[in-house]
Formats: sequence, structure tokens, C-alpha cells
Amino acid sequence: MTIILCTFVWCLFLLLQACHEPKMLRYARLQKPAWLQRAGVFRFVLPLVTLALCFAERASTAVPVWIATFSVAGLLVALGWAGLARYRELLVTSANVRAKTLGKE
Amino acid sequence: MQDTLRTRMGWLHAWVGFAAGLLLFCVFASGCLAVFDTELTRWLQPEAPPQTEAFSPQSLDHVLPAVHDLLVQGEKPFITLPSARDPYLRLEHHDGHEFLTVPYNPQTGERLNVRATAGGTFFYDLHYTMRSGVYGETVVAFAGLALLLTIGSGIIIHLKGLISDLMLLRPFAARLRAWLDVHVVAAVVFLPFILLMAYSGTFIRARTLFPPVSYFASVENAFRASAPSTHQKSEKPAVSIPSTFPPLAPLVAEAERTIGAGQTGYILFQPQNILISRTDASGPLLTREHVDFSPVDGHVLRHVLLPGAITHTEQVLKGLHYARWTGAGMRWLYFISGAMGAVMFASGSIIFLMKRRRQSGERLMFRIAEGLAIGSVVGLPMGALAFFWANRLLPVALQDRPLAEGHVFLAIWVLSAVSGMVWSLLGRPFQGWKIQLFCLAGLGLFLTPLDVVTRPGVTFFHVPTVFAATDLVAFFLALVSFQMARRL
Amino acid sequence: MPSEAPSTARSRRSGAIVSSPARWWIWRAVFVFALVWMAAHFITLGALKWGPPVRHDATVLGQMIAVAAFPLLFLLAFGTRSPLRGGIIAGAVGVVALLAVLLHS
Repeated sequence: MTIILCTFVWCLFLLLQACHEPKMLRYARLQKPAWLQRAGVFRFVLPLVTLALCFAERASTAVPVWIATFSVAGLLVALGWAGLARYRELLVTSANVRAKTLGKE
Repeated sequence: MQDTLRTRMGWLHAWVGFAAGLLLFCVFASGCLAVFDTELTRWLQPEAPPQTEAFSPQSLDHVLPAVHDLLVQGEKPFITLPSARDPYLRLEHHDGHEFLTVPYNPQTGERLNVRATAGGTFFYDLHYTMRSGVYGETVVAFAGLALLLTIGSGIIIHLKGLISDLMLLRPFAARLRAWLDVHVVAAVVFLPFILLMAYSGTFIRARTLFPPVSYFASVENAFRASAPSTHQKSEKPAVSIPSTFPPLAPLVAEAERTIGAGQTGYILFQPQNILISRTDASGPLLTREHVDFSPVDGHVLRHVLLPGAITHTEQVLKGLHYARWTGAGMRWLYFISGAMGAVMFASGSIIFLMKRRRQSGERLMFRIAEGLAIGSVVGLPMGALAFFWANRLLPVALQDRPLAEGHVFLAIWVLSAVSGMVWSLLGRPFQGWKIQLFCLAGLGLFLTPLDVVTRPGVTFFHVPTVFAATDLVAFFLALVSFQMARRL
Repeated sequence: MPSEAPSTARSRRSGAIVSSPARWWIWRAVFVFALVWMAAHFITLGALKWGPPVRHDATVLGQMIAVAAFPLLFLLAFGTRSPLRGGIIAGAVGVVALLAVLLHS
């Protein structure tokens, strides 16, 4: 249960991190939301939350669990972001095609 | 090419990475299977029912005649006590490659009638020796050092984009770009795991690389040892094996008073003593603390617990590497991380070949390298799946069955490597990749039907899910390889 | 799978003389490897002299340091612009490790 929870919180953190990376935003054709400016620093609380969760579960194994869940969350976010980017790309392409067709008509 | 730090590191990363990467792919792939060695052994012995009765310490005494037989044969048998991970009492011994196990009913001590198999520890032996004994161990340890070098040079090359490209995966971009992204995501996101495994793994086998004796002395000793030493042998007193052992239940209870209730894991039998050892599942500190008993009357001989900060550091490194303390969740995290390590090597090797194909695609060395890459990246998973197939299809009464399973694995692996090499030398490497990926997909896809057909008393919904999990992983591997073959 | 270019493609710069430092790097890597390997070996040997009194602990400590030092030293020695400087760094560490073996005996 802790592993799933930690992975979820890590995913949240990494998503916020991705939203702060211009390269990632460009890739997914997204604009940086305004509310993220204020939430910027607070995202760094999330790794500490996951660490606390891991320690609460079992102190002797906290660090390996913390690191391993980070890696898996990173993979999940990377896959999810790639899917999102593909979806946005198809969306934009089809919108462009529609606009061209309408323009021709 | 300019002589800058980045180009130097790039050159080192590419060549050391490719040379060691093909072997390291096998090490990581077999390592992530070895994490589930006990579970795989249960899949490979389907006659043992998924659930069994509660453990009774009295049942241990029923195993003693078999223990005696193994001792007489010169083996070092040990009993693994039931745990949450594996409910059976198991009598095990090392046959020089893997730990052969016979399960017993934990309530009655009755031997379960199961097929002989190399079991999940087959992959454990493959992981650190490549089934080549001490020479293989040395080569794997050397590859571990090469991995540390590759990681270091990779970090230097990629330092600028380490954070910004952390999750940048573009599978639909140009092929080289897509493979680079796969390589970077697998390497950077799983860097802590890969670094830990590289360092701890190399350190665990460091005695083969950095022995604590001078190389000159080693060479001298090697020549000295070749001289006949019959005189020395005859001086050694022969230790007699006791005809009967004391009842084990009181010994386990006594050991638990010292080690802690429920903390005993193994009972190792030697002619001169019986060692009751702490379970590896107790925590990341792999202490192997044990209480020794006399095999004649069962009195306590000594309690062994190695103290000291350095020993504890060593035990933590071993504990983290072997991952025997983990529960099912953490075990899956290890499995995924190991699989991503293998993906990192596979993608790295593919990038290496892609970058050089234009300039050196016609060269013999390039073709050999590509053939080897096919044999490693697709051949090893095919061999592993063939091992599972052999386990279910070989006759149960076959003589030396565990060895036969291993031979099937090796035969398929060699066949894959040879076929990959032939296709590559004929100048049609994509044909080689494609055929083998389709074969891999077929082997993985039909493992579930094979399991359902050949497993006695098959039920679809039961706990634990070792059968379902193994079949699903094989199915997933089949889907991935099918998709890759299709996109070629 | 690798399919960036057809396997029959020829060199783009056929005829042009390209001086690549890669050939020279092989020898440099071999030289650095030999020096660093000796340094790591002497660290392992020396640990028995300057390390903890218990032989097992001393061996383990020496091997821990050697395994960590090998890649660091190699990258340091191979990474310097001047091969001579890299050789001097690796050689100096090796000499210090050797002196530690000799002086304690």
C-alpha cells in the first residue's frame, strides 16, 4: 500500500516538475498554467512527504523504497507524457487539416 | 572528431558500453528473473498445491533421513523453513550450479511428489557466473567495473540534460531519436538502482578482481598448488557423519530464543555441526547470524554474529543487492528496475549499431557485432522462455532433468546467436531481428496455454498468483516483441 | 531495431582524410587502465596493512575502496585534456597506494 501511495505522490511531483520544464511543455504543445507559478516551490514538499511515508512504514527499508518508487513513477510519467504529447499532436494536426479544408471551401 | 571531454567520454561510453553491454544485458535480465527465484521454482513445480497447511516444527524430523543421504553423498544440505513467500519446507543443496530443492509438507513432513527442476535459482547462477564457474564470475565482475565506467561517462555526457530530459520520451520521433530517449529514460530515471546494483554487485564479487594477495604471490601459489599434495590430504582427520540427528524442533526453539521468535530461516547440516541461521527476510542487513548445535546430542556449540561497522556495511550492500528482505511490492520494483536496466543495455547497443551502420555496415566486425547483439538481446529471453517450455514438456521421469532444462536453455540461446550471426553475415540483419522477435513473441504468447494444459489441478483464480504473474509477464514480453517485430 | 540507414550505404566522406583521435584514445585508455588497475590492486593490498586489524574487515574495506576508486580514477585520468596529466594523476594515486603497502610492512 505504501509503495502505491508513494508512487502516486512521486507521479504528482514529477508531473509538476514536467510542467515546469519548457522542453516538456513544448513537446506536449502545452502552455504553462498560471497557477503553477505560485505552486512552484511547494512541489518540493512532495518528495519529503513520500520519504516520511516510507519511514512511517519501516525505517530500515525507507530509502530503497523511496528511490525505487521514484524510478517507477518517473517511468509512468514519461510514458503518460509521451501518450499525452501524441494525443495533442494528433489533435493539433486534425485541427489544422480541418482548418485548411474549411479555408479551401 | 574534436578532442574534448564530451567526445572522449562519448567514445568511452560507446565502446565500453557496447563491449560489456551485451553481457550486462544478460546479467540484468537474468538478475530480474532471479529476484523471483522462489516464485519461479513454484511455477516450475506445478504439482505442489498453491496453498498448504501451517508449519509444525515436528515435521522437520521427517526430512532428516533425506538430509543424511545427501550428507553421505558429500553434499551440504539445508532446510529452508516455511515463510510468507514460500509455504513449503524445502530441502535444498547446491549442485555446483543451482540450488536443487525438494518441497515437503510443512505440517506432516511428507515429501511432495514434484518434478525435478533446476528451479528459479537457475537464473541466479546465470546472473553472476553465466554458468561458467569462477571464470564466469570474474568476467561478470569485470563487466560490473565496465558498467561503473559507462555510468560515469554517461553522466558526464548527459549532465546538461540530466534534469530537463528526465522524462522526455518521444517514441514517435525519428528512430534514432526514439531509441536515444528510451536509453536516456531507462538509464537516468533508474540511475540510483543501476548504480547501486553495479557497485554492490561488483563489490560482492571483488575477490575475483582484486584479491587481497599480490598477483605475484597468486601466480607462485598457482604453480605450487599444481604439485601433488597427497601428504597434506592424508593428515586431515575425516569427520564422521552421525547416523541419527537429534530432534530439530527443540533446536529451532533454542535458536529462536537467541535470534528472535520467527526469525529462523535455514538449518544447514554439516558433519561436525548443525547451523540454524537467521532468515534473509528479516531486513536489509544480511547478517546470516547463526546458532550452532552439536549433531550428536544437540547441545549449543556457539552463537555467531559478526560485529563491526565495515562488516555491517558489507551486509547492507549484500542485503540490498540480493533483495531477500523484500515483500512482493518491493520485489516487483526490483523486477521493473532490473528490466529497465536490461532495456538500457539493449537500447544502447542498438543505438551503437545504428550510428555506425552508415559508415561500417559492410565491415565484417560490424556484422559480427550485430549478430552478437541479436543473440544477446533476443536470444537470452528466448532461452529463458524455452527453459519454461522444457520444464513442462520434458518427461517427468527423465534422468538428470534439471541438467536437461539447462541444456535446452543453452541450445536455444546458442541457436539464436548462430542464426543472428548468419543473417547478419548474409547482410540481412533485419530478417534476423524480425524472425527471432516473432519466435520470442510466439514462445511468450503460448506459455499461458501451455501452463493451463500441463498444470495439474489448474484453477484460474487462486492465491498466491505465481502462475498468473509468470504467464502475464511472458504475455507482456510477447506483445512487446511482436510490436517491435511489426514496426521493423 | 537499427535501421537508420541501409546497410549498403557508403562513407559520406570517402576520399577525404579525416584525422580522428579515436585510434590514439585506445592506447590512452589501455595505459590509463593499467595504471588505475595497479592503483586499485595496491589499495586492496594496502588495506590489510593500514586498515582494521581484523583481516576480513580490512579486505572488505580495501575492496570497497578499490571498486569505488577504479571508475572515478579512470574517468579522471582519461578525462583530462592532457594525457600526461591524466597519467600523472593515476600514477600518483598508485604510487601513494604502493607506498602505503610498503611503509606499513
